[in-house]
Amino acid sequence: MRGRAGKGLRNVLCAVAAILLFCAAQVPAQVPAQVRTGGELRLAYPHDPMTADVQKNTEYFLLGLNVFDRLVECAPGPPDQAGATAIAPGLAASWEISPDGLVYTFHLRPGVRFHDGSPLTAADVVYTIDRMCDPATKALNTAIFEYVAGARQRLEGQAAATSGVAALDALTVEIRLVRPFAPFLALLASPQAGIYSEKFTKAAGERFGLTPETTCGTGPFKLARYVHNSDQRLVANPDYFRGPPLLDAIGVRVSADPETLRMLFEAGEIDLFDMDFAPTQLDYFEASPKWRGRLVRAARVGLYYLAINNAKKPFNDERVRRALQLSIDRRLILDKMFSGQGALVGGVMAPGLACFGPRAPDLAFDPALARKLLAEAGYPDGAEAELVQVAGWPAAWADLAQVIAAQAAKGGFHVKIRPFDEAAFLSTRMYGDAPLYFQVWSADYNDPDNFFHTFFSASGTKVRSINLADAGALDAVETARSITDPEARCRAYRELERRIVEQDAAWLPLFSLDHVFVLGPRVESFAAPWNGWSDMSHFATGVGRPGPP
Amino acid sequence: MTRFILTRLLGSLPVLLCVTALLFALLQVAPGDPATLMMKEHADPEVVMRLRAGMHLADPLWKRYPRFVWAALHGDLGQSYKLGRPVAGMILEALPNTVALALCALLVSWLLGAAAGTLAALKPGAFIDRLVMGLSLTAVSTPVFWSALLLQWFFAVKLGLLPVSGFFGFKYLILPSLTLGLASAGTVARLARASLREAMDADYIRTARAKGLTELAVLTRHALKNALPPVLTVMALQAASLLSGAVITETVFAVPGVGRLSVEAIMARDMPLLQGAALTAAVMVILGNLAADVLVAIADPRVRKDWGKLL
Amino acid sequence: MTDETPILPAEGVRGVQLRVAKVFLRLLAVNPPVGFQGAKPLGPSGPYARALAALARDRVATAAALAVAAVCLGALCAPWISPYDPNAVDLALRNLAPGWSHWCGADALGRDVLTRILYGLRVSLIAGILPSLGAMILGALLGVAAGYLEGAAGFCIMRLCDAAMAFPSLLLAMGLMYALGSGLSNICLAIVLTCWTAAARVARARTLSLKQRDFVLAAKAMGLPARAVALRHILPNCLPALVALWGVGIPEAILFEAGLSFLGLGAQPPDTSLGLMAAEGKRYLFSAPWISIAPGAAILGLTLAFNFLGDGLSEALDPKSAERP
Repeated sequence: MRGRAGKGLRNVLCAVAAILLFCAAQVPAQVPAQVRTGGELRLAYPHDPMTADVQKNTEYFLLGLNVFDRLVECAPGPPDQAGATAIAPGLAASWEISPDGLVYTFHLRPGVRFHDGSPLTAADVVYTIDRMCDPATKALNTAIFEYVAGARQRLEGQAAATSGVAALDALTVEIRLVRPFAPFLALLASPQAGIYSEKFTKAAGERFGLTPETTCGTGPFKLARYVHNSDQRLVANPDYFRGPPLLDAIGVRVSADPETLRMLFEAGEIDLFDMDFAPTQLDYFEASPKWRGRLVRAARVGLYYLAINNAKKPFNDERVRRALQLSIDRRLILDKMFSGQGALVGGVMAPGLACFGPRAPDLAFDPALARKLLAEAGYPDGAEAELVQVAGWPAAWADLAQVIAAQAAKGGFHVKIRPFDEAAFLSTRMYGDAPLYFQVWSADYNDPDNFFHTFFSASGTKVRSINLADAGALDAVETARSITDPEARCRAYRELERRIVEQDAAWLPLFSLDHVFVLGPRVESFAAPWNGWSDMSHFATGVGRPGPP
Repeated sequence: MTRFILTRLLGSLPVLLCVTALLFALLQVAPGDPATLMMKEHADPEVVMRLRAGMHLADPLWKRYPRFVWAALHGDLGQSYKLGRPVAGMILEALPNTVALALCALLVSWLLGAAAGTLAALKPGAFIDRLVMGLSLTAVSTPVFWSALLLQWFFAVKLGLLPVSGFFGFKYLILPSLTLGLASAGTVARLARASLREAMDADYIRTARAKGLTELAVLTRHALKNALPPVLTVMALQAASLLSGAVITETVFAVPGVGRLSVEAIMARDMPLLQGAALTAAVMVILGNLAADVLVAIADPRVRKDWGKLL
Repeated sequence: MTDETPILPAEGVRGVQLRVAKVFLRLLAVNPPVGFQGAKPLGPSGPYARALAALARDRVATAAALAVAAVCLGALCAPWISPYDPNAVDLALRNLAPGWSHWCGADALGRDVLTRILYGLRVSLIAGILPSLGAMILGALLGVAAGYLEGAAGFCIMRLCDAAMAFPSLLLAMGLMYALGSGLSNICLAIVLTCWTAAARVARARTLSLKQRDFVLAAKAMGLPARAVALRHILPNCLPALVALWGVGIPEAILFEAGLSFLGLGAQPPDTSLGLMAAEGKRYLFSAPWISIAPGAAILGLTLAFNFLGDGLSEALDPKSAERP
């Protein structure tokens, strides 16, 4: 996931459909505009969404989040726990989990209709899951159902259906897993798990999600126009089961150039400026008397991290990794390069993630000690290292790479920036051979597993070129997936975090950046998503007057 | 003439084969593959292998290339890996935008360039001549992404007269075609000036002047007509290169054209899409070159006698 | 071109090709160089001294030549001229406005912009001069061959030229970058492969007209092998036109590199080029305009200087200009 939004899971939101999450302390004029004022929200994105089909999209979920619903949704938790979230009912009104954690039974909300008027039934849910696992679909997000019984056989073409999913009656679905898998419910709330209509989707075939005519969900908006690389338009679904959205329509334009995005906003052609698409404009907006009061800061359940390849020299030595941890002045980078908009992160989990707790003490900054450790490890003249620089990543990241290289130099590292093209980097990394690189990861589902399994499972740690060598920790990540008691699970993750960061010095977290939005004059209510992504459900967004013609 | 055009068109087929074959070869040696790029942050060997199998990427080049050519001959450019859409349809959708942009830009560059060039040629060495030539050089040497930004800022943000970007009607065309047109107007102006000056030096112009014709009459009746062919050649060549997609202008102004498609395709290693975009661009350039030669021949009676030599 | 009209009716099509060649020259606001209209053979030695003298008399061209020389010197001696390290990151100086200590300000990482321009010039100059030279040589050889051989071989070479033109230049460059990795040498290769066509067309058109000249016919009659005729008699006579073409090829290449950098395919950080600096600084165009404007102005100045020099060079190589008052 890159900072500029758009890659990986970043922009996804666990659609907080009905509940407004106001992070808008700075926007005094904001009242939850529960009164429906209609109008059109005009947005610009730097990329084309590719397809509304969430099963075949790993990056862009704006369409998917507004057109489809999921069985369950991720919603803000109790108001006294800032940033906490809970799993809330979505298309499923209620559900039961068997004591062994293997069988999930969902009771669907009656009376929900798809955009084409057909009612939602259990068969649609069964179809949706089976479609993901059907090799003919060529779905990209098959991983979310990997523990559903029969999913693997279906994926490998050995079965004609996914055996673990069944419709018990018209409104009851049963999903059986092959092993207890605590994050499963949270995964079902992720945008990739949108529910499709069996009849419609089968008829649409390969073109599902590519045109308005071949897209149909239950969500608050219907896709009305989709011109590749140009624009999309979503119109309100008046029959939405939670009631019609505040907006009449959402217009989304594709505009790849960040400066053009800002000018679109200043010229009043779009209503929302997303700083993730043009991070360098923050200074300008903060200094502008016109816009200062319209800034909304949302916490982000995500973090910047410097991935250290534990298997590659010189980082195969724990002292060298610790020296690197000590060399980076994260506070200075955050303050100078990102105007201090965010929080330092000292562990594996990002603020806002379930089980998150500030890890104390935080990583120290001590270049002198770093040089001493390097000398002890046998590098008295400093250690050679390479840092990835991917052409095509945001320019701000190229800057960040140079700052990190300069800081590491003070700690005794000779860091050479190595240019990569994105494809080459991804393939190198996939086989565990990438040198030092930094990246952003933000949560697509609210469970620590989303972070730990990604970086420190036996497979994930290689795929991301971290190559954690601590076999005990790798096992613990796997075991933690099946702990059913939430308290015990959290304790296990906190212990794991300590072990990986302090004991193994295998991981160098940097910081979590706030997601800043600037609201245009017409926007009256706006709620940033729980995870701070750019892609979100606009069910609760409202604009004052109808947009200009 | 028909024979000439036919021969050239036939001669162009190998050119197209060359272009697409070269692309295939380039993509073959390029590191990384479309499957990895589709998965981006979620790429892991297992899923990537499964995706690759569906793309027939394991087949050797000599198997895939003829398959592509055979399908292309039937009008089937395949399906984009990344977007799952038929490539031919995507190109048909994008081409009109590129053509509209290119035509408007050419109009700007031809009118502005020809007018400025004529003005400069009338009084060689005069202030106006130096001014026009200086301005044309400035236009030629300004990076496009810069002039685009300044135009957007001035006309859209400062004056609020025109939309910043997007492509939803005529007024959205103005800024991008100005950006693109200004750069090539400089070239046309220099060319027109040079060509006119040469024509004005010729014997028949002296004869015309000696006959007592006014300077204006000399210019319009004799010089312009004779200065036309070389200008036409370069204008048509320019048209060809613009029609094949102005990548940077299309990016900055969010024009959903062929240029954007090719960037998108190359970034994602989307071979079918890239092949389609490159093929379109190549056809445009070849037709443009051919049109240039035909136009020159039509404007110049001396050529019409000997088409064969133009080959 | 007083002596041109008599040639045309006789030569028909070739005259048109001559005109096309001129088109490319006119593109540069250049008069056809020596030997272009006359039938006088031209050795490589004599006229160049004359041209140099003519160049020295042209004040604009002299100034441009001096500017180019100064810029090259500046780029070459950057470490001794500037007290700063171009890559020294100092976040305390982030986006510092121009002042006495930093004449062109500092960029987003607190690096001195002027120093970076001097270092960036190295890449931009190399990307500007070498590949356009390479393109000229490649184009000249192929163009002369195409013109001299005519027939099937010539047709093939010209179709190859078509193919090179038909291959969108940015696409070819991007493809090369991806295939071979981004780097200065590959940028140069990409520029050569996309820019040789103009030189080839000019050289071919010149060759076609020169072939009918007395001195070439005489050389042939004397029994010289075709290769010798082409290399000794035709190629040298194409040179003036090609040199002029090279003059504008340089700024073209610099801008091409700038365009590649804009798309993230040119110079890679921490290395820099003028184009990359302008593209990177574009992000701060409104909060710290100097980061982008200074390198942009450098590109503009460099391009103007090379263009004026090219103009002067071609004027100087034109014998008629020497006759003019």
